[in-house]
Amino acid sequence: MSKSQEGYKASMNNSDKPTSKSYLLISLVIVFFLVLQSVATSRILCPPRNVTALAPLRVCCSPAMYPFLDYPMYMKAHYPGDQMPRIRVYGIQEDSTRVRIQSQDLNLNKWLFGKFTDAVLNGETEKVKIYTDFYSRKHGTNLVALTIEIEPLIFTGQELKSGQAQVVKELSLNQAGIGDEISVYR
Amino acid sequence: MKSAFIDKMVEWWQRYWFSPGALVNLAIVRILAVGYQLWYLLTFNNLALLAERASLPDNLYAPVLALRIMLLPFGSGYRPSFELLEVVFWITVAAGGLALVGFRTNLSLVVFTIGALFIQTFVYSFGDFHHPEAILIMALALLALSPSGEVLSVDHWLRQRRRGRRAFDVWDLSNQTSVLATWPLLLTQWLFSLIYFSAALSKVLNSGLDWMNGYTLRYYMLTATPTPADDWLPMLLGQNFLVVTLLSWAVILFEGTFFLVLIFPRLAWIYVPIGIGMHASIQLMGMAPFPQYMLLYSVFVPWDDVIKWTQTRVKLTAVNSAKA
Repeated sequence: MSKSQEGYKASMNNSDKPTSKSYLLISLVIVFFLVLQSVATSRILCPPRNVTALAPLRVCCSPAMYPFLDYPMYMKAHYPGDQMPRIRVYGIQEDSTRVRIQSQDLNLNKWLFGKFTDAVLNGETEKVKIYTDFYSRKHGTNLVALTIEIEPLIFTGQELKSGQAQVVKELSLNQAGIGDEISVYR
Repeated sequence: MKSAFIDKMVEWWQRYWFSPGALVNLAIVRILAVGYQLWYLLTFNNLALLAERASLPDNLYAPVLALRIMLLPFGSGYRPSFELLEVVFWITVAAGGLALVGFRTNLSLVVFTIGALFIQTFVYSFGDFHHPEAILIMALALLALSPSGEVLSVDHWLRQRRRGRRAFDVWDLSNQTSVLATWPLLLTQWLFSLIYFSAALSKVLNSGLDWMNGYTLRYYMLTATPTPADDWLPMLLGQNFLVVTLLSWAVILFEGTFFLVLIFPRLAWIYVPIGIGMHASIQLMGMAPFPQYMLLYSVFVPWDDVIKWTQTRVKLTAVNSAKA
């Protein structure tokens, strides 16, 4: 290595001698990250719902502290006979035509589409109308009713088999009840 | 006595987090992390997605805490318009470009990280959130607070020019160290350990040993893809019950013991390849993809040693060629 290179190396390695203040600030950052991720990992601020004695501690469930999260994906055990419900939503148009409504029809991903189906299942007509109004504007057709069918996939232990589909909800959309409802799709 | 103990603890802390580390390790992680996040912004969290989210009804808007904090100047409960999101998006992309090439690195990294966090928390403020991006955003924040632009950057090149020195010597990169180069990579390793432990803890606390019954993993493999019968990997892995059961145990052991790499760093040579295999398989099977994790495993790689090894090989080859 040449002398100039040695000198550069020395200056490079000496130029960033941190002050004790820097060490302290960085140490605080380290502690901050470790503490928050540990709180998220341990779920001490989000104990299970069924432990009622710890309910007052339930103040910070994911994603409240995002990006510090707990990771409970795929935590549930499964057994032969378990069913995975496949939810199908159908709309009835004014001319009685039945159409399948999927997530892309409402510009939603599958998780947000789940909120729509929850609203239908719970009979929350006013909430549902926000979605159906959007559907009407997008497709140029009005819906007068919605139907939810569930076709379960049954886990046999070896494979998945389709079970019997059944209608679990029929919701009439009362056009006259819109009133001063403002569609807040932007 | 108390003072001696505290002094010892401080000394340990300094030695652990602030031992000299190669700046090139930090720089390479910076380039990979920023590069991926930029690509992710332009392909996934792009303007089309932001427009979709911006068009959702108000009753779905439930801003997470980090977003609320960033929007405090606008008042609590403020919901950003698409126009504001568009401005934030392009500022973030521009800052990411600068951070990638290492111009005003720390400042551009700070802006890029805040922008990425803003956009991600907005996307996740409608009752639907996911996990893969979190560790990368945390890593970006750590890089922003570290000398990640000291080498392999425009800043470095400009500094060299100002000093009248040769701009770039790749073989010298591995010799440039800093006491501030270790802690971001080490802290990211800690975050990995805590995250994997969280995953193992959830499974074990929720399901106990039943999680490893073989049926659980098979169920998730079969239900992950739209047409499970057409996907060879879940079918292949799911057919042999013993294999699936062993894989279940492997998953729990991997996640639950990943923290051992903090105590025995050489174990990274085992855990990182297993992790890459696990995440790649999960992605191939249509289950929760975590490509950011595979990329961020770069914090475990001793890039300076890779450079030194490559340098030795090149020199040997040159010597052998000269002899021939």
